[in-house]
Parts: sequence; structure tokens; C-alpha cells
Amino acid sequence: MTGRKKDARIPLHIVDYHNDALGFILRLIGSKKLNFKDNLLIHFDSHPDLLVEDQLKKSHIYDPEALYEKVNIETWILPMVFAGHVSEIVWIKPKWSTQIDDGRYEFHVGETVDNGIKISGPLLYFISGLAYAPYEKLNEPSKLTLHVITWSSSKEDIINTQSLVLQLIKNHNESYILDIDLDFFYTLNPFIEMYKNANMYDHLKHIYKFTSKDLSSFSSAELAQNKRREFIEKMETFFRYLEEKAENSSFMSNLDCKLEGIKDEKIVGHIKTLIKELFNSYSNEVDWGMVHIAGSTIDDEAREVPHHPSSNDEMDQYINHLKMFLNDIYKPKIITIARSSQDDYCPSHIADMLQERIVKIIFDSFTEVTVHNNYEQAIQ
Amino acid sequence: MGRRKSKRKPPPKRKNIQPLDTQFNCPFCNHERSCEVKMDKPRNTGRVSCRVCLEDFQCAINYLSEAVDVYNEWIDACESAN
Repeated sequence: MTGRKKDARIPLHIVDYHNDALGFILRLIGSKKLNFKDNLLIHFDSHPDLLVEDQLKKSHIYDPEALYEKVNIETWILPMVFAGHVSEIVWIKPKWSTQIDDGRYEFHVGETVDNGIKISGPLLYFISGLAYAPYEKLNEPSKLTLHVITWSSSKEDIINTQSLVLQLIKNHNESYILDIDLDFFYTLNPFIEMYKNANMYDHLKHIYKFTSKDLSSFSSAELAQNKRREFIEKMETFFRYLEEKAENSSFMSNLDCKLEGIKDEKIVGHIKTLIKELFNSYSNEVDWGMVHIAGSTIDDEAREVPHHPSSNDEMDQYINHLKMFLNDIYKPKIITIARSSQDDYCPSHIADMLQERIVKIIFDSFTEVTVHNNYEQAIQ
Repeated sequence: MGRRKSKRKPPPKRKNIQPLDTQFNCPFCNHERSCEVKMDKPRNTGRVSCRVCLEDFQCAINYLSEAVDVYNEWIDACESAN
């Protein structure tokens, strides 16, 4: 007989796509080894991963297999918040990540009638990601406390974070998840290099730009998001048209007609130039849907998806800081590591090196750990 | 912006969790695969019973519970009792 209580070792699940960590966390909740409610998530990452799939419904969240099909690398955390499994998140980020400012935030995650699960955070990150809704429109809201902490080069950051996290772990009765994305140490923005001969990323910056200044020109965050949604949906329709018609070069003559809904002439100009340059450089090889996906990652230049190929010294420093941080921390109930190599956020050879070093640190810190490599299928 | 996006399109459909067992060995009569679990999700109750010796066990479940969780809780209860 092998009972659960005898197995006191901490499960360490290594995945490639970060959203694949979700299944292992939910499985642990199902097996009652992790509390059903109010867990703490310590999330080391260059990205917040705090968006939510548009039109994700409550019914998807309570059907785990359906949920795994829906979530993506940037949308895997908030379903756990809505379900009440996670009520507090500490996002520890490197100095090159600027998507959300440092601070302590209190939001709610609930279901809207029109657009599914949303969060009541009126920040550019959520608004341009179409993830925002005012609290009054959220049904069955679950509270989320979010701490955003940047680690600079200073050891003081680590000591301060450690003292906060120790207190939070106590508050959550030591029921916490330790989650580390290897792109915390070295991160690329994979869209920068895509269709480089057509300067795709530079053109997209002009087309999809959405800044804090744009945001403040609206009377409410909701109105700003509605405008953003309208624009994103128009672009989606436009690129879908290109996907269907691009094999026929006469599609170029129809561009004006298809762009009628876009009122800003400068943006229309950039779109036309981008399409022409892409078509001239790559002909029928362009994945037009992917061009739109790349564009929809863009808003304010000051809050761009980070691109920081770290030096060896920088990686060493962050690895040493993580080691220092974990040294005096209570044991987590589960550890998840995301390699993020298949999406090119962290190159495979760097991810291999980082994985080896981080797993060693985890063993040194917590001793009784069982490693599950769950990424082979993803990298085949 | 902080919205990282996957370069996958469409995302590959794959299960990252292996299918879990539904039949188990009995901790009382030791028959192999003689225990079956019934999950009553609307009532949040799981019940495992042995079709050979008729021993059984019931526990609370949630929407994430699997048959193996009910069986494991039975084993834990047996160990605590001993």
C-alpha cells in the first residue's frame, strides 16, 4: 500500500510551454495535496502571464480538459484565481520587465455576461489585452492580491522579498506554489526577428500602438478597452481576409476596400506598406494570422514584451540571488519550471543550461524533491 | 506591452497528464483490480468498493478529483486506523 501521506517529497514538474504547468497544479489540488482554496503563487518570470482568453467562460474553468485546450502561455494563471484556488500572487521579475509597475494591487476576477472571465485591474496591461472589466460587471468575483517586485542587482531586493514572502507563506498556512520560468534569466521577444526583411515588427509598432496617453484620453478604462477591442477585431478580420485571398496576387487591389473601417490614415499607410513589403520579400510564404498575433502583442513601447539576451554575468547574478532567496524559504507544495524554449522566449541551449543549474539549487534548498520531466513531448 | 503570445498556431492538442487508473487492488482481501470507484460529482462524493470482499469507503471530492484520489484517501484512512 502506498498512501499519500508517506509521500512527503515535493513534486517538481518541468514543462516547456508554461500553460502546461496548470494541469499539474490542478491535479495536486484534486489529490488534496494542495489546498482547494487560497493558495499563494510565487511566480518568477519575465512576463506576468496574467491575461485571460477572451470569451473564456466559467463552464470552461470547471471542465479541466476543456480548460487545458483553451489556455495559452499568457493566460494560464487567472482561471485558478477565478476558481478560488489562488488568491495571492507574487510576480518577481527581472529589471528588464516593465509590463506592470512594482506595487501591491487588489483586483477581482469574475465572469462578465458578454465577454467571459475578466479582471478588475484598470491597467494598460489588462486593457490592451482585452482582459479588463469593472468590478460591478463581474459575477462571482474572486479576490486577487498581486505583488509585483523587480529584482535589480542589489541583494537588498532579495532580502526584502524574502521577508515579505515568508510572511505571506505563513498567512497561507504554507500552502504555496513555486513557479519559475527560465526566461526570468534570459528572455527574447520572438516576434522581433520574424519577417525581418520586411521590417514587420517596426511596422507593427506603428499599427498596433496603444499607449498610456491613449488610455487617458478616454473617460473610462472600459471605453478605452472597447476601442481597443474594436481595432483588434478589425485587424483580425483583415488578416483573415489576407489568409484566404493572398495566394491570388490581385488581392492587393482590394486592400483599400478591406481597410475602410480603419479611420486613421497613417495607420492605413503603415498597413499597406507592411503588406507590400511582406508580399515582396516572402511572397506566398507569409503566415498572415501570425502577423496579427505578433501585432496584438504590441501596445506601449515603454511596456514592450521584454527582449533581453542576458550576459553570463547577469544570469549568474540572478541565479545566485534565486539561490539566496530559496535558502530560507519554507518548502512549497509543488514546484513548476517552464523552459519556454519552443516558443523561442528562451533558446534551447540556454534553457538546458539554466534548467540544470536551477534544478540543482532546488535540490540544495529543499532536498526531498521528485523531478518529473514533462517537456519531451513538447520539444519533439 | 507585456502580452507575450505563443508562436503556436493553432496550439497543438495534446494531453500533458497521463490517463489515471480506475481499477485498484483491494487493501483488505488483496485481490488485484477488484476495487472500483464511483464519482458522484453533483453530490461531491466519491465511493470505492471491492466487488470481492465488499469492503468500501466514501469521501468528499471536488471537480478536480479523480478515481485514484478516492482510492488513495482510502489507503491513507486504512494506514491511519492501523
